[in-house]
Amino acid sequence: MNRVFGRLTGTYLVDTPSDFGLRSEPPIHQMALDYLAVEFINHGWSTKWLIKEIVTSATYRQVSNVSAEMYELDPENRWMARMNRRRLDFEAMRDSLLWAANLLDDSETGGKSVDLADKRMTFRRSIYAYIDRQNFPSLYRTFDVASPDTHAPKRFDTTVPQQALFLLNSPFAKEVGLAIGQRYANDTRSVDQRLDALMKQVYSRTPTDQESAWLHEFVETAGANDAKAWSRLAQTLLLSNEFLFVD
Amino acid sequence: MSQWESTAGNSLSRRQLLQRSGMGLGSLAMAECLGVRGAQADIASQSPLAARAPHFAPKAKHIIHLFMNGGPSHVDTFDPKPALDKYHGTELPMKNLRTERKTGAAFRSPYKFNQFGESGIPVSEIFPHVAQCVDDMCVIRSMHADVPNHEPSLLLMNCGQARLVRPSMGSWLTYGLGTENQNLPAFVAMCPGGYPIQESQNWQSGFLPGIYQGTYIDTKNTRIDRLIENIRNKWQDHDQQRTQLDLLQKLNRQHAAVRDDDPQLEARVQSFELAFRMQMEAADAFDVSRESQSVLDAYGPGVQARQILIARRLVERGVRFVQVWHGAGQPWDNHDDIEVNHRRLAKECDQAIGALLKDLKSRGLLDETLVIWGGEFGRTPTVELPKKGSNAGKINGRDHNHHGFTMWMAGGGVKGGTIFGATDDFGFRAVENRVHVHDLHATILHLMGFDHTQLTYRYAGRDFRLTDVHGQVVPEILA
Repeated sequence: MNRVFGRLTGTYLVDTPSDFGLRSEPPIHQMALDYLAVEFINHGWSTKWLIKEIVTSATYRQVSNVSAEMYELDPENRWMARMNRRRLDFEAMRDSLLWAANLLDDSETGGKSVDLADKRMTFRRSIYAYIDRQNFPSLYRTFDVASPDTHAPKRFDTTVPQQALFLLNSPFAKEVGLAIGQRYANDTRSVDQRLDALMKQVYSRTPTDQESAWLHEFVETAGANDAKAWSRLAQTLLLSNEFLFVD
Repeated sequence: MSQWESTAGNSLSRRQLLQRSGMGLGSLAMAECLGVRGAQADIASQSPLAARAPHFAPKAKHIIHLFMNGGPSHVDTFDPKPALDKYHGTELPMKNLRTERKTGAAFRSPYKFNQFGESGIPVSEIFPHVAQCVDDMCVIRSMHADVPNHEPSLLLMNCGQARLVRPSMGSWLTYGLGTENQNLPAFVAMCPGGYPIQESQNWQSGFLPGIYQGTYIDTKNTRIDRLIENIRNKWQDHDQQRTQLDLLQKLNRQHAAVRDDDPQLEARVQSFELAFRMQMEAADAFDVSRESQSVLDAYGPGVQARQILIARRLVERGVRFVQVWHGAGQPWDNHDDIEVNHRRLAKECDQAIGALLKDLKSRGLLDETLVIWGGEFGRTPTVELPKKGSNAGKINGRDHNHHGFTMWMAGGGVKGGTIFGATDDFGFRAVENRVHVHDLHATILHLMGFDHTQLTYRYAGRDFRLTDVHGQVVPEILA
């Protein structure tokens, strides 16, 4: 229960999920811990029930962006008066990129696992990743996927340039950018209309005037129907913090 | 590093800093035992690889580990045994020790030994260039390990644990020290043509964050985009990518402006700038053609020369730990035809290793760079007997030997021109001043400025370390 809560919210009720012993810190929210644990059992150990209970709670549905005073009162967010800002983990990031580019292949449920690092690209959901324990692709390591060789209480959360290199230069990143870019290059609408549509597709919102001006300038220098320019622009939006973090 | 320092938020608690940097209690413990206020700032700056000071002033800042995987024979390289000539072809007066396979009569070295330098350290004829550098080398002839098999011995040599998953020495050191150059990987493992036996576990980070794992480079390749994944952009030139990043950072700044002072966001902004610079710096570091002809001539031809020269270029640029494997699989594992094979293998790397030691010295880098040479174990002084399916009928090779073997170290605070420890009269077992692999690790960490009992990481309810509950520093080999 604690693991599910921690994965969803970014805060574990007991901060050492693999150690509930005497050497772990006692939980602040003992009542919430007990309530969820007991109800989890009462609902037949249903993980589905547990996730639903957590994500429909008022605690979960808070925003992360609070006033500086609020932030000062509890910088660690131990009392959970706001939501943690969460970075998409590797699987969620990859699926989101594919989804934004309309490439995500969720036609089949189940089936054989697929090698996400293979040269022949696959667009299946990341949950189907083939994991070779002996030859764990560096891609997973780069993005903090837990080692299959050893117990991991939590995933690490590092920010390193190798992650940026993958998102900037990998064939996967190119493919995703291209899938979006080609569509907007071959489009009869005005540049502004297309920029609005692109922003909606990637960020689910319309651009501010300032953003419109920036994006306009970026596309116009190459030509409004240039597939490469639109691909590069799409890629830029996907690289941003707005795309990768959930507020 | 400076670009990271500005990102430290004042409003964050110590606890949150640790969480957000992806480090656990272990690093907190480390920061405390280091007594370095700066360590906290480094963690706060969100760079788990920012350079950090060790426990005390280090002798060495970098390591080049020349890994002769497969197990080079000590009695044919740095530990001459005249008694083997006397008993050649007959039974040893001692009982053969148990190794992986059955061995028979004494087997003399097919090579001649000569003494070199002021120290007069004897070296086999197959390492003539390395022999020129003996006065800078400390030859440890009394190494010993636990079992006569490659896989556990490789893990023991690299991770201090033969069976369970534990971080490698390079991972421990980059965890403890960070790196001096954020534009290159901190820990590089080079092996031409594929992985050694036990594969990437040799440079694994185990329970430490993935960023401390060694970056594997297949040095059979020469093109930079084949050496490092995603290092080149194939559809945008440098200026186009800069324009793209400029737009990205404008969007990111606007995004951050309306949010609280969150170092996660700033760290990611910086990671793109680092990546942009890494593209250029890495291309430069791995391109040996930028060396002068005289340097290239000194190192000689071939892939060993190229990767050993790359190792020097990497430590010169601040890379912390460079491991240079001789080749895929286990090239030095000469169960048969040892005379031909050891001569060939030594020829492939001898000139470049000699050139490396001289080159580091002339650049003033040898003092701060610890060069380590050796395999996962040595080989038997007795001949391996025929066995169905392997060396049937050849009877001209040696089996694995973990009871006694030789490693040497140079530079980085070790006492040059010395021989430490000894094997018995035949080279079977280390008998004098025995040095276990754990002791070697303790000594290496000491040279890098760490008390090996204090460089710990809390995992699964207790503090772990490279040497676990073992290891004694060998003071006699320190300069």
